[in-house]
Amino acid sequence: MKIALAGYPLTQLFGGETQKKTGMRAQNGFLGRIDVPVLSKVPDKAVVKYLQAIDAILSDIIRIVDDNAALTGSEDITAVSRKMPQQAFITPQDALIYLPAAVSTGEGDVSSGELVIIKNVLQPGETDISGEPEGSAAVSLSRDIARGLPGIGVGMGMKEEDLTAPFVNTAGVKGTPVRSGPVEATKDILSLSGKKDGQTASQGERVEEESYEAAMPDIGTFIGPADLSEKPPGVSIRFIDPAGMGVSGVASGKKDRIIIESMTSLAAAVNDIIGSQVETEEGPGNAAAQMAVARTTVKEAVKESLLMALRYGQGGVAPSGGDPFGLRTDEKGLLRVDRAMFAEALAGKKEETFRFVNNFGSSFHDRISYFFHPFAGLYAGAPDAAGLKEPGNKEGVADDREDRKAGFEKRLGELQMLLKSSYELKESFMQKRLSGQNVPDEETY
Amino acid sequence: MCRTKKHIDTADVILFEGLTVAALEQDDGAAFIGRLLEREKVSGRLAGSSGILDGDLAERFYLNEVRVIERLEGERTRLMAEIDIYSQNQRAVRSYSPKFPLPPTPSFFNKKD
Repeated sequence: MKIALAGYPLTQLFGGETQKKTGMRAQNGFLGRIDVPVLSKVPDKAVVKYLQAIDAILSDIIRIVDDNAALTGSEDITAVSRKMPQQAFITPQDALIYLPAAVSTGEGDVSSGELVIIKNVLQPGETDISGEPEGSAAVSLSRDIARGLPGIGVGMGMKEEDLTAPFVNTAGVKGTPVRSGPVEATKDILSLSGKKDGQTASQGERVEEESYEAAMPDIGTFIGPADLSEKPPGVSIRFIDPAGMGVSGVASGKKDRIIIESMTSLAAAVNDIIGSQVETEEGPGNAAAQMAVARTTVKEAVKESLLMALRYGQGGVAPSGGDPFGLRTDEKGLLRVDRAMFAEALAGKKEETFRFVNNFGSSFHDRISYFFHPFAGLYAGAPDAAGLKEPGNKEGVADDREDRKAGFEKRLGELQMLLKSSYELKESFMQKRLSGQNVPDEETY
Repeated sequence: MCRTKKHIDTADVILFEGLTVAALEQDDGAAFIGRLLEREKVSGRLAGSSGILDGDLAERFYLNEVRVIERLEGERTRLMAEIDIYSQNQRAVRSYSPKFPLPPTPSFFNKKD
């Protein structure tokens, strides 16, 4: 997400006065053109810098929660794998999880067996997030992956006992062929699942699989990096790259920490602009005046966005219990983040919190991007009073787009022409420099 | 009989150098380009002239022109970056689709399937 750095589109004339075309509604049959003496069309660098920082942080936060919302919502789960680049090679750092044919995808269909390959989740010698060494880290990882898979729409309907399905970890096989049939597969597969038929597989122990009900089909031979461009019959293959998605079925704790840190940074950036005090003796049109209106605008945007996000979560009613997610504005309008409460909300009611963060961030971004105006602070909450455009009215916005494009084209044309001319002049001067050295002068300059 | 070549018009030379130096002294890119646009008429005469320039003068003009070209290349790079940012803004505006109570705003988005 980016914001238009020039703020609301304005056309500046010589002399500093500005005339802005407005979407003024027809009154008594007349459409008026309002001359609005406003500040310079180019926001001060400080204002732009703050807004850029806010926009960047908002983008990060919303990207993270958007990805998570996309996975747990009603969006087509196949879109998840479509988003990711299909990488045909398997490396020892990938985790392979085979879901037997009996597992339902949750859509009423029975899958034909699915091989889920999660890219780059294992690193040689790496400990897991709880600090355990690699062997048990792989076990913990596989269990966590299994538990997390339904959350991302894979293997939905899988029950706890389905965790006994064989999990294959290429770090364990390291080039050993994966064969078909339960018995042979047993010899080659390092089973990292938990309980099976009353037995408990200890970490790293090879488990006899004669009693496995779900047989691993022949999924081919993987020796070192394997090319999966041709799918084995009867098995669908899905690649998941947690790094590319920004979502990790395993490292959800890390993601929460990122969100908390990002929200804290956002609060700091917002409070910088709200709490800034620029003193100057000059009148309107300077940096101080711009900062003053930016302060008011951002303060109102934060308050309205927070209220909107809270109301949405409560079914359109303002919450009575204060700040359920740890975010609030204080008496000065500064954004306050209670990290402990926010972390608790993320842990306890994740979807609701993600939805709140998404709503808040989107609303805040839209208010800054589309309703920011040098005088918007004075008309906070009543943009109509300033004659600002409402969404749905194409006039003015489209004009500005065309103006900007025309401006760019004109400037680019001028630069191209001047460059061509300068290069010719350079050549000419070089030749004249050489030819003027040996010829007698008719008149000397 | 010695054959001499005619020198370029002095007035043009003075005007050209004055405008070039004035352009190079401008910090603002728009003003710099404005000065160069004013210089264009004289530039055309100089470039097309078959007259000669004194060696030192031609050297000075040559070096000035190298600086002008560097500034112009810089301005062009800056403009391309600005255009890129603007087009990314427009692309982001078109591609973002809210999932919440905020309805899509047709005036800002042109959804292309």
